[in-house]
Amino acid sequence: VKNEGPTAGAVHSTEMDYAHWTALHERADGIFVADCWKHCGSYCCKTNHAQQDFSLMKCGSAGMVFPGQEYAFLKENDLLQDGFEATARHWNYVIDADRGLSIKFVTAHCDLGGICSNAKWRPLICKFYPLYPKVVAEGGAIESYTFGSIIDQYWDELGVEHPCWLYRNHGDDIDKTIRRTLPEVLSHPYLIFYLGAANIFVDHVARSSQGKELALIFSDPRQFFRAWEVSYLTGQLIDQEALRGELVAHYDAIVAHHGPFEL
Amino acid sequence: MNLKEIMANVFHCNVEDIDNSAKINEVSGWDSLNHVVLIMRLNSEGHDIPAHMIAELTSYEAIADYIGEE
Repeated sequence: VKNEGPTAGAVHSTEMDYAHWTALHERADGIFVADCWKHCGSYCCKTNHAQQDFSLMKCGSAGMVFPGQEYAFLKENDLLQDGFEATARHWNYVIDADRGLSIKFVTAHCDLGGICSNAKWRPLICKFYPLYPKVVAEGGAIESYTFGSIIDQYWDELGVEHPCWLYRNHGDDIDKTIRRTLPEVLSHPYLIFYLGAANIFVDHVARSSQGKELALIFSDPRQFFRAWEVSYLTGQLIDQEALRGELVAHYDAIVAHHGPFEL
Repeated sequence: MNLKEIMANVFHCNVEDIDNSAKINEVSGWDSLNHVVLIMRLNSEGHDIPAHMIAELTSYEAIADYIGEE
């Protein structure tokens, strides 16, 4: 896709090479704290909290989200975890049709329950969990974080302790590790965009949840999650126009520093 | 198309994969997102399944019973 950026000049390719992906994955491995799953029953891999009374979303597994290039890199190098390819769904979300801007991402299910078939190359979203970083538009520093899973937004409001032992006990350490080791390898415009886009999306859904009747049932976590999943899956928590506007503004902020680039 | 044919079409599986005991997340392609797509498809074909029933109709039998298909 050749995007017409807001400024003059050629649109440059954003394809990251093997060395860059390798460096990124190796450094992201440093976030991991060994045996953390012993404290939570592998919550992040199993979506198994007793209060999450989902009817539609699959419990006992985890939903994966990949930037298109990350999935393509893992697939082309035969590095995907078992089961990802069979459940992969490729998305093309148009954020500005006139300028040919669309986000390419892949979703998949992970049914491995915490036992990765290829742990070294588990998805970045897993390596970053319980946080998900946003890099400043110019690169070189972490701007902020959102939660590593979209269903982790609500624990405070629900009055329930965050299920992730790492988040509860080592959140500051994870933040420091990410800030110390990752900004350089995350400062590619393609990654800056997709990390930021994920943050924007999660925050958008969280704000929408709090503005709807869902807020009225925060006192009952199981009822909340049942209502939330239907609202989320049917698109009721997403104001498409507002979301697209936020994503285009994010793209333009990066272009201002790096020039037009392919999404 | 009958219900099983519609489901197979939405889930990109074979009609034979949808037996009477089929349930969400137990049939290839029948995940939460495709479940919503299925409900939208059924509504576009003249059924009237309200949003509050989406989380209740999670099996072939429940859907067939709701829309009155044997």
